[in-house]
Amino acid sequence: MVKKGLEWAKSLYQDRAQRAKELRNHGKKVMGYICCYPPTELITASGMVPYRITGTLEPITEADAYLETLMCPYVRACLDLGVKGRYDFVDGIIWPHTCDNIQKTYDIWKHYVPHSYYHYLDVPHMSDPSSFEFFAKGLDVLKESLEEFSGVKITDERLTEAIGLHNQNRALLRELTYLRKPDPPLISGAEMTQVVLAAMSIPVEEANHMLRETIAEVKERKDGLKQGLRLLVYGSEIDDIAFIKLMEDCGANVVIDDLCIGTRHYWKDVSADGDPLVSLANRYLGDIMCPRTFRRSPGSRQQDLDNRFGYIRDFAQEFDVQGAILYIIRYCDTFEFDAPEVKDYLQEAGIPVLHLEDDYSLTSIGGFKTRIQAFLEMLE
Amino acid sequence: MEQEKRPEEVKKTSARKWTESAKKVRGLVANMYLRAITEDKPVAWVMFTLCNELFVAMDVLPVYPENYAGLCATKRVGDPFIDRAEADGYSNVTCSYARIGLGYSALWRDTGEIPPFAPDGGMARPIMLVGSSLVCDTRYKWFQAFSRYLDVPYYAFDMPGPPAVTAHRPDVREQYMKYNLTQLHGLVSFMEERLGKKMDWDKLDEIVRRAEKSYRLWYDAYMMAGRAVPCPFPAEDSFRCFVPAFFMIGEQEALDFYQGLYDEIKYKVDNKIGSLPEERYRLLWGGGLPPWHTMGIFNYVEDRGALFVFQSVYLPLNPADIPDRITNPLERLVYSRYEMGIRRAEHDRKLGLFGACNFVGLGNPLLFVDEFKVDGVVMHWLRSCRGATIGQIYQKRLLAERSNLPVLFVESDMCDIRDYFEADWKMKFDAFLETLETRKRAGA
Repeated sequence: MVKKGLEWAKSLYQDRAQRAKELRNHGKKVMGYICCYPPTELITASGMVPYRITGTLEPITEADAYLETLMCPYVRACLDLGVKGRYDFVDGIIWPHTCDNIQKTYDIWKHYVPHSYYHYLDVPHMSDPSSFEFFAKGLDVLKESLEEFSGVKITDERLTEAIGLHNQNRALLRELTYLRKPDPPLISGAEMTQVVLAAMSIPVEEANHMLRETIAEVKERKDGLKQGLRLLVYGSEIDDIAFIKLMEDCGANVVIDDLCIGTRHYWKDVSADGDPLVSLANRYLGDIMCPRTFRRSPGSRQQDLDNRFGYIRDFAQEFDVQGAILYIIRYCDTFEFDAPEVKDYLQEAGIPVLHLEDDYSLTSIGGFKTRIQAFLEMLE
Repeated sequence: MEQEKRPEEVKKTSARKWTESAKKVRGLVANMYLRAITEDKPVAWVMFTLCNELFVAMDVLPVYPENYAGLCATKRVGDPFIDRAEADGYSNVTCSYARIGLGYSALWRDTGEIPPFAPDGGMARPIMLVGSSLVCDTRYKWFQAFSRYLDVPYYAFDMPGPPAVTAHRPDVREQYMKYNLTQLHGLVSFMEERLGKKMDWDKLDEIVRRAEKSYRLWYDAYMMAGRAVPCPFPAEDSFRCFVPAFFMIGEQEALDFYQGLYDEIKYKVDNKIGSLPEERYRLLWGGGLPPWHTMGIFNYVEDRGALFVFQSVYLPLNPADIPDRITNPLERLVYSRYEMGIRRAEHDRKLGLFGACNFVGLGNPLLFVDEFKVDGVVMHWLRSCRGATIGQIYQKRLLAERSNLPVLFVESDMCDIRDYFEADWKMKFDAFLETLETRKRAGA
């Protein structure tokens, strides 16, 4: 039976690679990428399937032989899958310099995880006009490299078309996100994570189809969620529903997030005007709100904070949240440095905050449950 | 204040010094902080950014909080700063340099006074902060976090190193050089605005050329020492002698220092004057920053006949021959940095490594094991430093693919002594040296 909407998303979440493998068996190339920064539009325009590399909560059994334990456990989990052969169906990989943990793993991945193609994409940390120019040139080198690998010329027309498809994808994800605004929300946080991950695992046209079905299905829901305290989750790579489900099992509703497998991936579109590479550079470097990108202070300390974190407060207000949970993956330095300021900022905006630090594997989930329950009780 | 009561204990944490040059460094460091407090000149807090020359040219006294954190660790007075930063929400795995710097700033803000236990009189109040993304993320994030405590304008800039696979392409070279140059121009503009005066380009040119001479002497001295048998300049000395190159480059004092270091090493090498009576085992410190809190551990190893003849962490800039056509000092500066990056990248590429070195060549240890005749490699996992820790296992595997040199991993932190277990380290070193002895007897 052909699955539709949420069932389709759930099925993909449970076996993310199923469709990519199927397409590969039919001659399509699958291009892996890690993190939010490689423009998937370029992959789509080259006729390949973009596939987001993620980790897994299963115990790390192989990566210890390649990567130190004193680093981002998410990246370690990704490499663990890679060296176990779980990404063998991926033809190539685009590896961005987004943070130390990812950057320094590139060589190791290339040495020990076999693909036919590897590309390192340098992403500036600054966001000055010269940074955008530098990044656009880097995207041009990537484009040229993808053309060579795929055998497909990425014309402006093809790229513009791909930008349109991915903008639709982002718009649909936003539309689904807005269905979390009612109280109770029409879709849970865990379901949303499933959908986002599913959409990162199949061609964009199919993802858009799945999203339209999902939106229609969710809008029709009669057996909605129960009312509960409304939460925002801030963090980076939550690519499993366990943590969000934990909060929801404690009686809360996660109604908005600021996560890599979440709004950070789809909240802002690529401009359809002008040079498409410049538009991609502007969107990926300028609009992805990750602490790895430095944004110059526009003036006072308060203005600086508003510039860096104002959007999180706006999310909280727009989605009418009663509390925020910061889930910081240990050894993720850029998030570790921002977390205390994010906490202060949200608290000053009247939003209570629970700051959790974890090793991504959620082995401390029992302790977290107690802390989340206590936090929710405090919010009551 | 507690630390003042136990000078003997503090003294024991440092390593013995083998060269006269190494003995001079402590005085230079003390003077660096003293000048910033006593001289009537603007002070900038700066991350190591490979452009100290700009501060010298603008008559700004740079203070490097990462160096200061190392100083706090050697004096074992870092704990109160670390405690304070952690109390303010910073994780105990964030860079311990940063935690010391943030804790220092927090305590200073609370009382309006430099914390009384701050060594060397403390870090003087800055009028600007300058960070960069060179080498690691902490270099711009930490200084951004300073804004929690210091109301001081901050400028951060990029200086990306070229990726090994494409570094040789002319268009990529232009992309990187142009970006680095524009970013540095941004720093000059920021400084000009803060200081209310223009850059004196002739003066900068003189300083950049002086720095180039210093870098060359530094490089030649280090390489000469590493190749020498017996080795007159062990790693614990070179862990001191990089300080003028990192934090004082461009100053005449730094040039004088490296001329002195070069002369001293050359004399010792020419006359076969080593450090130990017998170098039973020659070791390479192949990765990770040293344990600043317990440098005396080097003596423990030496007392057992082993000498770290080189460290591949604070490597001198591989000096570039800058073409005469490049006369603009800022362009000279960028050119030399790119060349340094490209040489490491090219080296990595020859070894079959592929990635972006970001000025940290993964192949670094492999560069030296043959040439410097080492018997074993030691690497240090740092709990709070991803920049210097990630890749060590990979390096060990690469070494294993090319030689059968034993590699020892030790684990602690550069500044946070709570992560250091002396008995564990000593036990590991004992076992490692036994392995080396067995191999030696077996003729390996």
